[in-house]
Amino acid sequence: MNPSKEQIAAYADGELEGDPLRKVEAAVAADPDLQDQVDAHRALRARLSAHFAPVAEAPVPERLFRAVGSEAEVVDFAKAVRKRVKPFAPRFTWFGPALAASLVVALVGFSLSQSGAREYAEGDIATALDNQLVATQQAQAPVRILLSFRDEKGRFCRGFSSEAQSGVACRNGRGWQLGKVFGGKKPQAGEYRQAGSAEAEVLTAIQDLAQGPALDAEGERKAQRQGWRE
Amino acid sequence: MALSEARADTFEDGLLAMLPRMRRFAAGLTRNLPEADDLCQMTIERALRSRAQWQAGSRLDSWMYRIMRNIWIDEGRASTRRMQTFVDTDEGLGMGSSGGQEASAELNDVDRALAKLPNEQREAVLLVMVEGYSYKEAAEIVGCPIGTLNSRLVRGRDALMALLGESA
Repeated sequence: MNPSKEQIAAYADGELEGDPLRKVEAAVAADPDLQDQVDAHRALRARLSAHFAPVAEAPVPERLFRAVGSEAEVVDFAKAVRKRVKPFAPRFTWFGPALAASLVVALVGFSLSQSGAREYAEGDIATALDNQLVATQQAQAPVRILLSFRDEKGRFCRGFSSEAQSGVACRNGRGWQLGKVFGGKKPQAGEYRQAGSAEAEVLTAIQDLAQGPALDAEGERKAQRQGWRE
Repeated sequence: MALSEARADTFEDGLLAMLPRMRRFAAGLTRNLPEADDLCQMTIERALRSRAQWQAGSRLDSWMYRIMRNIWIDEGRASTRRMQTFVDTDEGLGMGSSGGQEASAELNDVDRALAKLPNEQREAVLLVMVEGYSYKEAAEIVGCPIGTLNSRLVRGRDALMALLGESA
């Protein structure tokens, strides 16, 4: 078999299956020149990904957060929140866009039931706390990380939200210790009426714990590399 | 793919979470960060106006990318002309703060090479090789048959490899 350029590219991209895959695979294995082409395709992909990675990791400008909010209920909400929290504003300024984003996200769907249990994150939530970075997580990830920061003991803490549970967790020797925990994201009628108190809970939780600015993309990557330990 | 079944809890939630990736794709299309942010903003505004057309449960990201590339095609000509006139494309993405001399020299090589591709080849390359879409998903976003996508991709890659030389 003499694979076409298209077939070689599709093979390098993992797009082939079944019979075509076996044929191209055999041809590549038998011909070092074809193997070089496959390698070149993969090297190019790696180079392009690396080239654009900094854009996805850079802070998102405030105006884009505002654009998302401009026609949605959520936004009126977020605006109202910002106005209302003015008195504490200086403590929040260093969170910048990360907090703005997390606020909007956090406000969208917290239900208000707050359990007092101080335990450890488990399952999907623990996995997300360990592995997910704010800058690169998938839009559809079942557990979303809102932002990361250090508490007064220097521990790494992360705000998260999921269907089952939302809140703040801090890493200690045993795992991700849950701090303030709220119910899952269950948008429901009447939620907006109570928003003031939900938002206050989220703000207060972070405000009480955070010591210094939220981690940026690089800070998060570093923290993750060291296993979220100080 | 599990992703296609999952969806964000709310529309705005989904948009917010997608902003970093949207900026990356926009930066690839426009090759200029301020213009990329303009494109993101237009995309968000159009998406909010057209949100009734988005089917809850379908992939929000593909839908957003389709909107973005359509705006880029519609509005791209005027802004491309503006960019070529006023912006030195050698400046690349203007992500200058990261990396030393060598890193930024390489950034510029890739930017310059991408700038030489026809739009249809560049978007195919970006969707598959940077955004990680399958050929099928990329073809749906662009609105062309898979075979067409595949051949645009190959031509774009050949051109890039030639432009970037052995270092690719």
